Amino acid sequence: MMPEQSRFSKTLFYIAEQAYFLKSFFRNAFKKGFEWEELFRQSYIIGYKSIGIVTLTGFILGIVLTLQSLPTLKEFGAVSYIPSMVSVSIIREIGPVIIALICAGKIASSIGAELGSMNVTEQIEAMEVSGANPVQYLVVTRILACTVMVPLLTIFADAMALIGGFIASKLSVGISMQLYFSKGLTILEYSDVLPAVIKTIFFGFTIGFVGCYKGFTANSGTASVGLAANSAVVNSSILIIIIDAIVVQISNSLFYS
Amino acid sequence: MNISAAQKTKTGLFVLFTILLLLGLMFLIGKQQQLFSDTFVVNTQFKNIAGTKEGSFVRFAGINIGTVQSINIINDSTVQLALDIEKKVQPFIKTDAVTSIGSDGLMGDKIILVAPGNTGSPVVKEGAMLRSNNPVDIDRILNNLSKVSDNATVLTEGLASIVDKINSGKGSIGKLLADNSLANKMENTIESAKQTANTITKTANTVNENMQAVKSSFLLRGYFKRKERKRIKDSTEKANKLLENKKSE
Repeated sequence: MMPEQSRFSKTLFYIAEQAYFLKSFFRNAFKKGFEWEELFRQSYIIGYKSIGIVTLTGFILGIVLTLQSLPTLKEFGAVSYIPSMVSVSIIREIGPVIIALICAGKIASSIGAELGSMNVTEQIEAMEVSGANPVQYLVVTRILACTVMVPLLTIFADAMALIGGFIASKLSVGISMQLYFSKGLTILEYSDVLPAVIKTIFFGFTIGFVGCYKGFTANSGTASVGLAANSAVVNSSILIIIIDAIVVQISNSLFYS
Repeated sequence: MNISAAQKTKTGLFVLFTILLLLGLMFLIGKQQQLFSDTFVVNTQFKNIAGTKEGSFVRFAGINIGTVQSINIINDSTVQLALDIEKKVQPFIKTDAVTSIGSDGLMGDKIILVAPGNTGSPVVKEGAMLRSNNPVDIDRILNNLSKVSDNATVLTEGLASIVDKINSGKGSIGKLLADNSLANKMENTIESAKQTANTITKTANTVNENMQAVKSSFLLRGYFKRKERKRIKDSTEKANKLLENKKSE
């Protein structure tokens, strides 16, 4: 794009570009002529179409977590802590992060590839020329759909994980459903649930934002579509982990001071 | 690129379902912390609340009936807890109920235990003050224990020196245990005592024979006869007296 740039100025350019992209997202999100129909369509593609993978992941997570911790807890005679342990660890940490990473793999890559190929085939420029607003139509709807659907998918997966954990402990130690869920749910507090939900909103936004940004800024050429999809997944996964590290500090200082 | 109404409905149902899940969870948590049920507040005071926190459970007869609402320091030796208790258990808590601090399970979360009062006592009112049993102060017990162990040290030291003396044969008990000569002497003594006893038996037999001989000798016969007669007379008199006493009764 520009001749002879140092690594530092390249990084600055990269950051500035993202900031501008973010600004244009917020500016277009509150513009007139919001594309509700497209938002619903994206919600269907991003949210509803991911239920299967998320259900499977959550369910198996619950089973595995239960079976993995069972031998250790048995050693300490603390088998009765399994429901509480599974529900707290799933809802606070494992559910949000794993589901966000799964969604990064499924959603960010598809957004990156879709917008990247539209960019490469100059469809986005064509939209601009014909007077349509590509950011409003393509970017805003996708990012919003991600921001809404990823938290919902996480909640759904948490529920699946609890069911998986129940089935695993039912089969291994034999516990009644009522006891399992009353133990698992009474241990929870608002300070467990609220930070987890809030952080999944950020995860969803990150997935949508990185996917759209990478697709929108793909260079011309067929290889750049794959590159856009790839870097969308990698970058959003890294950002998810970093956001998780930041959120845990904030929520600990707010709720457990 | 529009989506069909069926797809829209499915997405909507999914969104609705997960939001309901979240709301249900929120409601469950809130219910557990009695955010949505009728409660009343009673107060209780402790010298030391042993790590009870706001939100710690209040337990009555093994049931969680409420939480600790607030903790206030009244003065240097009194901490007042306000207990937020479900309205439906109010009839069971009497004015002379007693609170104490217990711990819950392996992890030792502190809980407030409410022991019921007398059945006849009036029901506790909103804002009332309940009596409390202060938790046992572990530090004080440990202090007392250190005194006890000091005493035990002195005692065991004394015992050790005594045992040492006995072992080395000092003092009378030591001699008793360690010295054989005493036992030998005692054996000798017992032996001679046996001999003495034999001699005495023999002498007594001889004396008996002599007495028989004396009784039959004519010089002393009169004396023995008089003695016999007097004995018989004495005993008849005694019998008569007894009879008379019986009659007069």
